[in-house]
Amino acid sequence: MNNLLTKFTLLDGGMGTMLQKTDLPSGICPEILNIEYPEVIESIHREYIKVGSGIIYTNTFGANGYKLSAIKFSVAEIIDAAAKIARRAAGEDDVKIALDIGPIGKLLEPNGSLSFEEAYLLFQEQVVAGQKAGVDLVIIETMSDLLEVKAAVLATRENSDLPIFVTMSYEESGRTFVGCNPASMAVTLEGLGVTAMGVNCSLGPKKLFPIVETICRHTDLPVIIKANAGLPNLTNNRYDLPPEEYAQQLIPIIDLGVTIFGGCCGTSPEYIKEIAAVLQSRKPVLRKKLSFSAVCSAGNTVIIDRPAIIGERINPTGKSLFKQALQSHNIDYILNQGISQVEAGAKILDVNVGLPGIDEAAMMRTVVSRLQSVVDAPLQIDSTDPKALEAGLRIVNGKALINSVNGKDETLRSVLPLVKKYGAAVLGLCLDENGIPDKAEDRVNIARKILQAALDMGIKREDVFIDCLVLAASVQQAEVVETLKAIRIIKEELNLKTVLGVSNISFGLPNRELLNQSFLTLALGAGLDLPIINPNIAAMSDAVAAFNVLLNHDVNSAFYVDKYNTAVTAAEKSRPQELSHDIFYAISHGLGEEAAQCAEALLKDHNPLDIVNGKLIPALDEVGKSFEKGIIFLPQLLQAAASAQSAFSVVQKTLAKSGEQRLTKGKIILATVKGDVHDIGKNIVKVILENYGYTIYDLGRDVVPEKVLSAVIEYDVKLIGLSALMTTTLGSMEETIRLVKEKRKEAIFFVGGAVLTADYAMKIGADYYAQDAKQSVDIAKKVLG
Amino acid sequence: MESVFNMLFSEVFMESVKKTPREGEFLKNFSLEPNEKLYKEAVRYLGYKNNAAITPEINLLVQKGLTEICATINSRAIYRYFSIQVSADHCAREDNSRECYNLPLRQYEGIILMGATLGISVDRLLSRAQIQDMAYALVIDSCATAAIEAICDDLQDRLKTIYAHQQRYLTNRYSPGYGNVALSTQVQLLRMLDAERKIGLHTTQNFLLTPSKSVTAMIGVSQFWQKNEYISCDICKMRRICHFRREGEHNE
Repeated sequence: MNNLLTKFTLLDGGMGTMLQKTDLPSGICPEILNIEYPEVIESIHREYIKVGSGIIYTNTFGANGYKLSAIKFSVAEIIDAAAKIARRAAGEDDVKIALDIGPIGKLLEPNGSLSFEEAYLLFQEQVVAGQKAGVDLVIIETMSDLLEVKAAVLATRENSDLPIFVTMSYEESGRTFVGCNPASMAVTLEGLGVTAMGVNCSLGPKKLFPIVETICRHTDLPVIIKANAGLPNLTNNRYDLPPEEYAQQLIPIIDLGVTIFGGCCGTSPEYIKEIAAVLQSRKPVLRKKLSFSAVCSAGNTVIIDRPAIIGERINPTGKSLFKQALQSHNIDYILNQGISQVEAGAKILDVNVGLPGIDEAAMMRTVVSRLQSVVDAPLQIDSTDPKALEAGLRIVNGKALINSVNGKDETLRSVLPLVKKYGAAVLGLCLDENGIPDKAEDRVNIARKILQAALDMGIKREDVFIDCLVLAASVQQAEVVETLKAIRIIKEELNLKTVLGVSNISFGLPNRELLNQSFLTLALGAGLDLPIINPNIAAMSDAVAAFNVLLNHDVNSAFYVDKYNTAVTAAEKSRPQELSHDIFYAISHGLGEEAAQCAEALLKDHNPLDIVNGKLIPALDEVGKSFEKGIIFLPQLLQAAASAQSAFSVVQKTLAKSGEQRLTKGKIILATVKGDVHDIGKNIVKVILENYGYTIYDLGRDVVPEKVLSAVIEYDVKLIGLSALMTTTLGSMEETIRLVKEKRKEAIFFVGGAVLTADYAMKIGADYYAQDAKQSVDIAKKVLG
Repeated sequence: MESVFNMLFSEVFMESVKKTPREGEFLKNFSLEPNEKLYKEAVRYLGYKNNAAITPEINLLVQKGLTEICATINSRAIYRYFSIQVSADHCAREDNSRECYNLPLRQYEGIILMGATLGISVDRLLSRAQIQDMAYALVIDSCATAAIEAICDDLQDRLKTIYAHQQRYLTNRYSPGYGNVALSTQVQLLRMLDAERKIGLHTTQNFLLTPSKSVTAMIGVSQFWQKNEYISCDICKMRRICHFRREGEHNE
């Protein structure tokens, strides 16, 4: 597998296309042919070898435990047979055998219901069988989900020493079906240590050109193209691009520096022959070595060539509501922090979920997985526990930034191997066993040490970012400039990207915002690339936006104009608003801001509890009645609930300030049962119940019975609500009720969902049937008061 | 009458479907603009029976939802025609059952399988909205449902026209999970369409489609006009609990 960049490598062409030309029975699983008609597969391999294919793919595209579950042969049997056929076909020729691995056939969480670990195990089974059968490399192809690719790559790397080729399939839009872009693929896979990468299937060479070009601009690795023979005509089952034209279309792609070629759907040995002829007359084009720093999610690549904000809000330090959210597994609260920061301009999100008493690794896994289903900002995995770091890194869909290592040997030893293995970037703090040095030069020395340790580990210089650390101006005023100086030296001498947690500067001083903004501007001027700040504070994100205009990063001030042209000016904002309605009106009309203002006003002369019981709940009850009568409909009920929530949080804050207990009318667990991924109904019920003051433990969707039971015990909850949309999952509902009631006789269940009826609810052991969200409240009132 | 599709994808039927499709088409990027029909369907899914009950706030929310959904979708669809060959053996088995007696399978010479999806971007939008604003989430969920149905209607109309040229009549479209077509036929249907590879459409272990705003369906093709072949509530499993029926809507 040497020389992939300096020599052309020819792969094979379509297997399915060739099979369709035979008179084998169609419609049967193509992998069975390895056992039942090995000679047919062997002759197809031979045809490709004859025209010059140097690597042939085993006939194992769908040979995974899920797709093969309906047939009588095991994954190992199929793969062993396929590898033997390929080896026989290769004979004495210098031809490499690639274990072909296609997508599993089910979407991974959070898009679908297959977990990352399940996917890993399915791929592991294939890789182990392939290694045993003596293949020379693994090709992971026709992939659409970068996370699925990652599971396959990790399964290969952790169970074999085989080289890995990866090709993904892109639509003309430049994205895969699940939204992965070619730059993110390139950045992520290079980090994960694959041997070569590229594209296959979906389109002909010409239409794949822009995608391949983007890949070439984001990786130094060898690039593969295995295009279709143009577009399919489903009526005659043919493709529209003839072999010579196909090969001609590859010429501009050869000029990009692509060196590995083959064919996908619709191609045959004639195509490979034509490609071979074109390659014969040309030499590989050497690509220029790239140098850039980047992190990414599957759909969003952030190249760090100008200041960009890392949002700091997903962190429990000093935030009581965040701590409560972690303790009660209120993931939505955390996700909301992520979404609002991205909306305010964060380009990267820091994720820290460490709190004594919680399983940080498990929480990291959950939060990372859920976050990437709602935002496409790359993530910065932040923990002092290497286990939690690895838990997050494993399932990050893209290339993450790790927060952090420092100059202590211990962190370098425990964290840098993770950085290397998962292909992340790393943040190095300028401190060591002796704390934070006062002088810039000493901080730079620590940065040097971190950089050297990273380089020794095989981590690229571009992936090492340095945090020069901020000390509070109220405590060490003289050292403020040392931080700025250190940034300058690190930029100039070490040529590394810099990161800085800015707001610590103002600790202990009045008008913190002013100091924070001023210091941020100074730091940006000194060369800071990635300020870690709260982007929801306008003064901070404004400073970054202004800086990017002044330094000509924001070309034509496009972003700036877009952001501020329509924004409300400070004067307008500060104009006092008259309260035109009372809280009752505000809630029943879904006016959230107004409801909050009313609550604020009421707090001046009312006891918080009186506001809740005397105003909020009666308003919600009234709205509930209108809903029952069919005067208003579900969206309005939900708007009213959200407005009550705004008022409720105002009251809650006052209570928190006075140190009073958090207001709750009782605890309820909600879950959408195992097998069901449609949870909008459950989420509606959750919103309504929360606004009546109940504390909700939302276990999410596709929840196994055991998880419900352990939550019931852990949180000591009596009332449990379950939802199921499909008849096929009512069984899980019944099983959940049975399991929990076996261990906890006093547990009370209410159930709901499109296919349920009151009769059926009783039959499966539920105590109540809730036809809609309003009835859930009635049940909760009856059971919990 | 019981639907012809009661027995579709039964073992008998599957044996009679020729495995190689005769024709088909792969379509993408249906452009969809917010329009009156989408609006009407969306508010109907939200539970509004007449426009009078829609407040100005909800009206705005639905307009916004339709605009956002239409801008977010990345729709793709595929259909393929399979001919049906009923062997003598199958006819014998047909004759033994009352159900088959009512189902003149021989009148159908083919079946069109179709799959359509709004793509995964809509799922992301929906999960995001459910965290931020549940009322809006509900609204865009309804808008998305209206959108995928509109795309299927479009495709169906297009097919009707194509087959009318060949003097062929099409039945309505029937989806797994409705009528008496088992949800589990999803797997076979997607495989026959090569839907995973062609349009990125999958099922979960429990036969739910992912991306979630997707539809699979089958349409019968016949030389004869099938009277009484209209969508009737009587063939639907949901008829006892359907809230549209509770409110008085009914299809004979």
